[in-house]
Amino acid sequence: MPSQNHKDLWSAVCLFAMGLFLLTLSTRIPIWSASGPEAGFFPFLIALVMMVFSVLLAAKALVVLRKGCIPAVEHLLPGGGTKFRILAYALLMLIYGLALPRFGFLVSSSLFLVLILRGVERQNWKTLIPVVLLSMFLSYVLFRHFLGVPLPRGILPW
Amino acid sequence: MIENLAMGFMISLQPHNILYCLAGCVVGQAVGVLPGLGPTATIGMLLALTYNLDLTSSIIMLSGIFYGTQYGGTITSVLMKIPGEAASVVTAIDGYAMALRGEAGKALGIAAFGSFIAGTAGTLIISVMAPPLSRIALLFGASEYAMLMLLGLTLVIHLGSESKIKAVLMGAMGLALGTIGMDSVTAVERFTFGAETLMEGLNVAVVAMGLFGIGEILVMAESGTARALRDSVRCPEKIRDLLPNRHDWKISLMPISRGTLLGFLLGILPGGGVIIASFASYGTEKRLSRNPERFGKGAIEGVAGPETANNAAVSGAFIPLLTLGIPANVVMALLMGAFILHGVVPGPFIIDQHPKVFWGVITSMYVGNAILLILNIPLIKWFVKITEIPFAILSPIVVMICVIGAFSINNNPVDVLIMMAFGGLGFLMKKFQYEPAPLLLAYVIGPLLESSLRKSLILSHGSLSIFWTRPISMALFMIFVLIVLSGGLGGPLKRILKRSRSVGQGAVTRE
Repeated sequence: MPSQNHKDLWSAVCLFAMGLFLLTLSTRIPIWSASGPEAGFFPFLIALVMMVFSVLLAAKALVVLRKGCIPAVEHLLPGGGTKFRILAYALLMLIYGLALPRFGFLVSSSLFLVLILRGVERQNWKTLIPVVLLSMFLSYVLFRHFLGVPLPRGILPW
Repeated sequence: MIENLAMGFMISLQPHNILYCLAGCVVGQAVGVLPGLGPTATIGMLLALTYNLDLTSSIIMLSGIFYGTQYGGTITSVLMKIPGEAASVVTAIDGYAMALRGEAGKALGIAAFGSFIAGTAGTLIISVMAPPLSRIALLFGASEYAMLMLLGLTLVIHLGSESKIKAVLMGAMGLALGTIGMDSVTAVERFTFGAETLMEGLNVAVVAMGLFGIGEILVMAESGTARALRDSVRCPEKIRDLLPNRHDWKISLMPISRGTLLGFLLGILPGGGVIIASFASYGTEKRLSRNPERFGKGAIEGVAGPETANNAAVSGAFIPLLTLGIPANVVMALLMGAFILHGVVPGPFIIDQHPKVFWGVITSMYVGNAILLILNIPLIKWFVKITEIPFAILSPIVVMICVIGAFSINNNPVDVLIMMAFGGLGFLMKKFQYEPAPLLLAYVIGPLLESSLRKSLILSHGSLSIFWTRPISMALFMIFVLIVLSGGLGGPLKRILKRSRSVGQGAVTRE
């Protein structure tokens, strides 16, 4: 299992790569001209800062790792059932966001709540139905009437 | 000043603004009671939804959430020894000890009254300080603004973060994200990859909801549904149970006075914030007490001082935002985002150009604190019941609010995808122990920092000497260099924070 120092090392590598990518993109935009800094100047500067500090973070992590065996803290990413929960949440959120304009607020939100509460959180119907009904009613009143948020109608006329 | 305050009260006491303030306080208090979600996530979630309100009402409601959360955290600290908010950790020490003695009502009451006094004093201090500060701010040119923002960002990194290197990296990432879109000076497209959605840059509400809302939900999803709560002490039933007596007031008067001043000053400092204010106040009261051994065993000063300080810090944090346009912490950065969403840039001109907004928001703090005081007396036990709602029920509802919020900005599902991407980023940041606050703060002030920096260099024909030849700019530059070289101002405050935290956590976990 990786230690925090391993995580710091890997994240430093990713951030260095990000900085390098930013540096490359910013050099395609004008950086400096006779009148002074251009659009590429600030991102170029930030990219340099990112690259320098990610090297510092990597160096700090390597120094500690080379000293000896560091006890692991926790898994880098969760395993088993927990991974399912996180992936399920992420996937259902994605589907919900894409379904919202097509199917409307009431239909897509109700389905989302039912799928999460029943499929992921394993709530029974006695709990699920009142929670969904109350949430839909309160959120409709809050968003539509109190905050004036235009909610998509979708397939329903209201 | 009196005329301005009168104008402000005429606006903040309009029925619809009282309603929005009440809504913000109730939501804030409910959120404050729940560990996990904080004011940042909540304000981030509601930021997009307040777009359809007018600016004053929007800021009033969002501000209500901020100080509402402070008091919500106090309730669970006193009754359950579970701080709902980080700023309420110290209250859990003596507050819970008082509750075990049957004095829960007194602890909650003195916290409520102390917060009200701090809020009132804060409103008055802002009314006095803000106009002259704004006039001073008019002397600021591009180089002064650039240095001030750089200094603010540096202080947030130094004072608020455990790992400075990681905080700098997050700040840099935030600044980089702020460059996406059309360059404000030359109208050149930057990092849009041809996507029209990105032409105006990323929306601050989407970024905040993703990082703090969705990210937090994914972290809580990982830990599962079960959440064991400590049995709570009996909640006060009657109003008179919440009223401190004459002796309590006599002991608490000076801690409340000191807490107000200390909290307000710390709230002004970028990166200072309500958390440091409450710890600093606790440490101060313990040091000044004639009987410091009472602390940790139910000393009322240990509740009065910190609770007053954290509320005063909330008021203080508005000063740099409203007068200089510099957010002192991530919540202020979100409020700044709310201003920008409505086309108003906070700063020295706001008092003259939008006086109703300025004075309306200032006086609403007084109204909000009064609402919290009135609200808490009959409704405390209902707020405590919120802690019984399982995460399994709460989290889908929070996700629904975030998705609606993100979608409603432009009626565009791409904003939902962007929010989820930031949610994933927020989750990874937690796993790798990176703090999201420097990222969001840098993202909000990044465009202003870049604009000031480039204007300064254009004026000076590319010479950096502009930053140390103008007197105000030079002073700010010297402070910046001092902080970078020596770890400066953060050092003593962080030592107080660490010492207080280790005392606090030891007392909180000891059973």
